[in-house]
Parts: sequence; C-alpha cells; structure tokens
Amino acid sequence: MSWVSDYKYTWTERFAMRTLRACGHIPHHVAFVMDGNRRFARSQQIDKIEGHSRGFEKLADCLRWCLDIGVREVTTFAFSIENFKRSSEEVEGLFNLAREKFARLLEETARLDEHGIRIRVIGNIELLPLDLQKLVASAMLSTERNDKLFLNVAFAYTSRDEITQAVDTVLRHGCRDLAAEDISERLLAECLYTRHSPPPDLVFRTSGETRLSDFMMWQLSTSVLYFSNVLWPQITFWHFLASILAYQRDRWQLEDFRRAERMQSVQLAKTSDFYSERVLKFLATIDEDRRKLLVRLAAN
Amino acid sequence: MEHSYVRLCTLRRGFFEEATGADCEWEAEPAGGQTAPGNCTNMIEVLCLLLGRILLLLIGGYELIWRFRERLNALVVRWSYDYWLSPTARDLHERRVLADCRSQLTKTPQHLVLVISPMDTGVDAVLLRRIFNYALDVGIKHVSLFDRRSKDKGYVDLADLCENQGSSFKWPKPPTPNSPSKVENSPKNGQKTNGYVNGANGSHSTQLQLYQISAADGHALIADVCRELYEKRETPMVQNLLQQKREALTEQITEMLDKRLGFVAPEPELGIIFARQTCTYGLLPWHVRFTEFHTHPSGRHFDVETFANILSKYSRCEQRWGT
Repeated sequence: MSWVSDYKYTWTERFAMRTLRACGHIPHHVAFVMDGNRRFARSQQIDKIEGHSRGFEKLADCLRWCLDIGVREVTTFAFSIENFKRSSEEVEGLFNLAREKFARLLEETARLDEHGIRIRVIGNIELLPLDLQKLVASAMLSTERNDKLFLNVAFAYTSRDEITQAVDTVLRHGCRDLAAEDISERLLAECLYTRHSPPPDLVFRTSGETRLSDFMMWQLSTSVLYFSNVLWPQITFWHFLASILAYQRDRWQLEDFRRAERMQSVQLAKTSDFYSERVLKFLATIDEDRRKLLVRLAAN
Repeated sequence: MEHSYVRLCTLRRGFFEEATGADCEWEAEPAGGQTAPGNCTNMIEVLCLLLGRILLLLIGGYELIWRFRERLNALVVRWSYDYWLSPTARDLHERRVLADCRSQLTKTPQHLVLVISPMDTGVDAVLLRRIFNYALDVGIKHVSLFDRRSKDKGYVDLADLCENQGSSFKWPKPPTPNSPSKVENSPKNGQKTNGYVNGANGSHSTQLQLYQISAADGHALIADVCRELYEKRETPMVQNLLQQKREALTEQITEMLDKRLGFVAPEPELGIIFARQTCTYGLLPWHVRFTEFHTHPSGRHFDVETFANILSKYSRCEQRWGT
C-alpha cells in the first residue's frame, strides 16, 4: 500500500469537492488523530495489527483527498509515547508496520517527489528501535527538498514531551547565545518539533472521543476541533468533507480571535527581540543540530 | 455574447484557483482556445461556484435560524423555569435531577474547567453561581474558570463572586448568621436522599476550590518557567535535571507551573466550552491533555439537565491512558 493512494472519486464526490472549494476557505493545515483502529478490528473480528494496517490505508486515502482539495500540511498522530504501555506484541506489531511503510516510502521517493510531498516525523525518535530510527531518518532526509504537501507523522510523540524537549533545548543550547529576556512563548514555539509548520487550522479526531490525548496541545490553541463518531478505518470521503465544511462554518466566527492572537504574537516577537541576531543564530544552531542527528541516525 | 461568457468563465476560474491554490490533475484542460471540453469544464466550475455560494447562504441562514430558535427556546425555558417556579420548587427539582444523576454516575470528575469563548454572551455571574452549586452538589472539588472575554464583553471576575484565598477562591462564601446560604445544605441533602457516596473521594466537600485562569496562564507561563530554569542553568539542580531522563524535567516543569497557578488540584478531567465552535482558546496547554471536552453552544439555555447530561456523557467515556 502506497503512502498516497490512487483513490477513484465518483462524480458526486468530485462535484462536492469542487463545490466546497468554491464555497470557502480550505484549511492549510489539518491534524488527524487516527483513533479507533483496534475497536474496528474487534468489530470486524480481525487481528489488531490488521486493524492498524487498514487504518494506514485510510491515511493514504486521506492524503490523496488533502492533496486534491488543497490542504497543504497534514499531521497525523500515529504512535504516542503512552502507547509503549501496550502489550509488547502489539507495540512490536506496530513497529513492524512502521518498518514496512517507511521501507516502502524509501522505494517510492520518486512518486513522492512527483507530488512534492515532504515527510517529517515529529516525536522523540530516539525512543524507537535503532533500525526504525534509521528508516525514519532516511525517509525525512530523502524528501527534505519537497515543499508542496507536508506530512508530519507524530511517532513516539506526546505534547508534554515535545514542550519539555523545547525547554531542554533552550537550557542546553542557549548558553552561548541567548539572554534570559529572549525567552518567550514565541521562542519556545520555535523549539518545538513543528518549528517549520503553521499551527493546524483543523484538528479531526475520530471514534467519538472528545479529548486531545496530549496531541499538539501547544499548537492547537486557535484550531477548530472536530470530533466524529466514525472509527478511523471506516472514515469516508464524506466524513472528510463534513470536517472541511465544519471548518468553513466555524472559521469566520473564530477569525477575530485568531487575528488578535496573531497580532499579539507579532507584538511579542518585537518586545522579546525575537528577530535579534543572537536568537536567529540560536535557531540556526537548532536546525543544524537536528539535521546532524538525522544524518547520524540514517548512517547508523 | 459567447465571448463575454467565456471571459466570465476565465475570470471566475482565475479567482477560483487563486482562492484555493488548487491544481488537481483531473482539472487540467488542453491549452489554447476554448474547446468543447474546456467549455464544459468552465460550465461545471461556474455551477460549482454557484452551488458553493448557495451552500454558504444556506449555512448562514441555518445559523441565523438556529440562533433565533435557541434564543427563543432559552427565553421560554427561562420564563417557565426561573419565573414560573418558586425558588423552593426550583431548588427541589434541581436536587432531584442531581441526585438521579449522581446515582447513575460511575465516575465523577474532581476538576471541572469552564471555557468561555471571547464571543459568548450567554454566560454571566448568575449562571456561574448555578454551575458552582451543581458542581458542589455532585461532589466535584475543583472548578477552573477560563473566561476569554474582555471586561466590557461580560468577563466574570471570581473575586466578585466568592472569597479570595491566595491564588484560589472558595465557593460558597462562609454563611453569615442572618442569611444562611441554600447551597450550604445541599451536600447533606444529597447524601440524605439517596445515600450516594462519591466513589473517588468518599464524601462531598462543603466548599469548592475555584481557580481563575487567564490567557497569560497558558503558553506564557511555560515560557516563564523556562526563563526561570534558564536563569538558574548553572545551579546543580538544573544541571542535575539535564543529566537525568527527560521525565525529570517534565516533573520539574509541572511542579513549577502548579506553584504559579496555585493548583492543589489534579488535571481537569472535564471541560465545558461555552462557544458555537469547539476550540480550546489557548487553555492551559500543559494541563488539559486528557480533559474530555463538551461544547455547549452559546445562546442555548444551560440548566441542571444540561449539566447532568454532560456528567453522564463523561461517565460513559472510557479513558484508556494509551493502553
């Protein structure tokens, strides 16, 4: 199964998609919490891992839909650090699935280049098995020049870990460059894994749960949250369109709030000297270090 | 005539592509003049644009009718409930509903957070007092209020409602000898009616712990903690943290944040968002990671049944903690 499916639209689906695109603003960044794979497996009396595999097939469909409707960045919650608590059999099964999919990704880089898809794995990848770290790092490096659609896969991720990592980065690497007054929420946001991504416009969680499960807690403060009862492997194009329509309905009402937050962020950047040379140097160091880490992991 | 139609189509197509930035493969049409398939594509696009506009109008119309209906409904309910029933009858009804609700709950949140969107107009001090009473009655111990409205748009300050105790507040105020508060008796009454014992804490508190959360308690507070740690980076405490596993730093951040917030509460388990759109509006990114959110649309009447329904939904939710 490829990372971007060859989904065949019916004419009604195409028509509806065009209508929604004409109807209003399409979110730039959509985050998916792909929940319900195991409940789906139980309901279909299939193996848990098969449930996760079906979930991945839906992700490939979803990427196709996003690409076609005009979404430019997709973030998916694939594996939480909390999921390490699951049975070793299931965790190993999930890692095997990831190994298979990332190996496949490396085989089809030409196809990803054709669509301009860049894969970024966000999370504490050093918690993963060494061979998976290597695959993940290679996948990120091999698509790093693409810039049409960004796919961020949250793997070994929790938001708390991400924020702690940002604080840790400031404490470890800031010594040479930063002054205490440079530290603001604006700077911390730049130390997150999602440093180069805008915050999600829409967060879509399946399976009827109405919590965020420690996913992008920092980034989603102005996002439209959309909860659907459908289990992830059962998601259809129409569920996807419904979320886009909900976003279009809610966006104009949230716009004033979002604008005020943006203005505040700009103001904060000015007062906290965010564009000073020392801060820019510090951020460049982070980027350099992160890339070095990937190169090292890929070479292992 | 045909020429102007083609120009219109081209103009609209230009607008359409600019607005969406889309470039689907199946939209591609042959370059050059307006061929028959090209005309067809343009016609479909105009049709989609038209339908899109109609859809927008329908959504706008639906929203208006919805708001009107909810407002009317709220007025009717308020009239029949608040003005028609005597305070004693209302009190009895509320206690009965809450007692029924308690007897059905399998779990009760210890910490409830109320999020009020900047555009909300329905939540006022009267409603908040009512919610605090309900919360006290069902055995909730802590309530946080996150009001994103400005002072002139209805912002409610907890200091005006209850007694200040350092960084938190207590509800209800201690009764004065001449005017015993009705809520003072409600926990006792709740226990008397059905002998319910809260599974989590064993007994009801007589006072709620209230916290006022401000916008600055979100990202800015984490940055504040980071700044303090950075200033102490040369100390053995921070150096020691950096040498340990990342969890040690996480715990330290939690501790420092709770100290700043004055929290002696667990993380909120349940959140009610008063807004038409579900959004956290920047609510405590560190603390609400596992909070179950329920959105109560602005303008809809909030009464004891609404509160009981939210608690029942929360009680049915299964929290798996990653397993």
